[in-house]
Amino acid sequence: MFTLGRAAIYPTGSWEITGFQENADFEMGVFAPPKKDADSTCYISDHTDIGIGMNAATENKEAVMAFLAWTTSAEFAGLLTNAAPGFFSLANHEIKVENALAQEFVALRGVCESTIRVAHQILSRGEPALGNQLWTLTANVINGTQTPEDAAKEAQANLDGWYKP
Amino acid sequence: MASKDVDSVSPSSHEHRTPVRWYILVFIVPATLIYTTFAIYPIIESLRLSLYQAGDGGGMFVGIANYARLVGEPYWAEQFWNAFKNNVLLFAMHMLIQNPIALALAALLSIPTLKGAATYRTIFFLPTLLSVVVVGFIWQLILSPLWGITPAFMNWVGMGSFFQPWLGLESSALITVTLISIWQYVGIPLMLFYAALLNVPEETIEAARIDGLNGWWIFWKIKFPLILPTLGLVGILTYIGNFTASFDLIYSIQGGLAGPDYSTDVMGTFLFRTFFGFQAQLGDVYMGATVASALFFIILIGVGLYLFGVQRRLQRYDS
Repeated sequence: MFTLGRAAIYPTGSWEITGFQENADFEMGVFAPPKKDADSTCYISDHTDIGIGMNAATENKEAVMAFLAWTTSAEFAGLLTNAAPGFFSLANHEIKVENALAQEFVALRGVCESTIRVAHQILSRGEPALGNQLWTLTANVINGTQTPEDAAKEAQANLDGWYKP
Repeated sequence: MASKDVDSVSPSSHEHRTPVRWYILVFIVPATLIYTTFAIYPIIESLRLSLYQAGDGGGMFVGIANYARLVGEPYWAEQFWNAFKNNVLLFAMHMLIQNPIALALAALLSIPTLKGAATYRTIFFLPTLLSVVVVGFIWQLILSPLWGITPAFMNWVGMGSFFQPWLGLESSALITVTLISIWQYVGIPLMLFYAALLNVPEETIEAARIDGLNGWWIFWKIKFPLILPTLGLVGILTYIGNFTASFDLIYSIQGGLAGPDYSTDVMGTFLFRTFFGFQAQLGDVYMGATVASALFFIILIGVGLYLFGVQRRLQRYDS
């Protein structure tokens, strides 16, 4: 199938569902990234860095609180998940995911553990931004020009330079 | 080669007073205004910004601290010198590969008996007219180890074992990008050389031929000395072009991180990441202005060396 050009693999994430389904006239499915071996755990990264909050100095505290409370409701979670297929609410409500491909994605949560994308939110605020450094280091590791241990050491050295937990 | 003129401005004669020619202003003012607004002012403004750092509610004057960071702090110095080194290599390779090729092609094109010269001229110049994004994308596809035509083509001629993902290897990425750039831009020095060669007077060449010189020696003894000023011009254009305009091709082929592992990072891509930020890296207007100013000084020094060291020694022959 692959050599005949009748099937293809594209490494990406659930955020591309809308774009792909708009432009592709073929069927799509999803599988999780390969694991080290059959017994190891797989991980799904939650984007805990995408959140909204309130400005502490706001004059409309109550209105903001009401809005924020609504974003934690089952109604909001359902709206977000189905209006933007591929973006899932992190709330614990039971939601019916209508998009079939998005359902496949979210089903992976049943078998995989959850993790966060570590480089975003705070760890990319220094010099160098950890997010960018991880791009380069990951490419080096995949290319075989750097060992994973060495890459991790370099990232840690960078963080030690400016980040104090 | 009757008279020799060593680049001197002949003093104009002031025998009778001419009225002040106000209309000259009409010609000068528009260009001056546009040039000041869009070139001189931005340069001065970025020089000024490079002396500031982000402070409470705006810039804070810090003197040359940013420059000290640029060459002193390992994070900045490493990137700066890497970008500078790659840029110098890029320039050297253009001088050693692009310009000799352009000169050779121009010499061949200017042979009067050559058939189809106009066709060749068009073909050589065509890539220059292509959008840099198109060029970058096409070459990425051609060289791709997954679906590019290069591996198949090399297998076909029996050289398949020599194929490497050249754009993805640290050792070959910069030279590959350089060769793509040369493929695209060889037309410009070619046209300049070609125009200069066409200006070589026919009588001089004829005289040399009568004296018994063959085509090879006519080129080296007659044509080449006569187009030396053009060679200098092409050199300086290459220098400025490589230090400022090399950004677009590298960005379109290798992206803002100028991979693999910054092996194709030049001043332009470094400036882009610093000023605007890239992905997770936040933009820093002040450090960006510092990198831009450093680049400005690099070009200033290069052009200055050329003007005072080379240009003044070039002899221009009047025929």
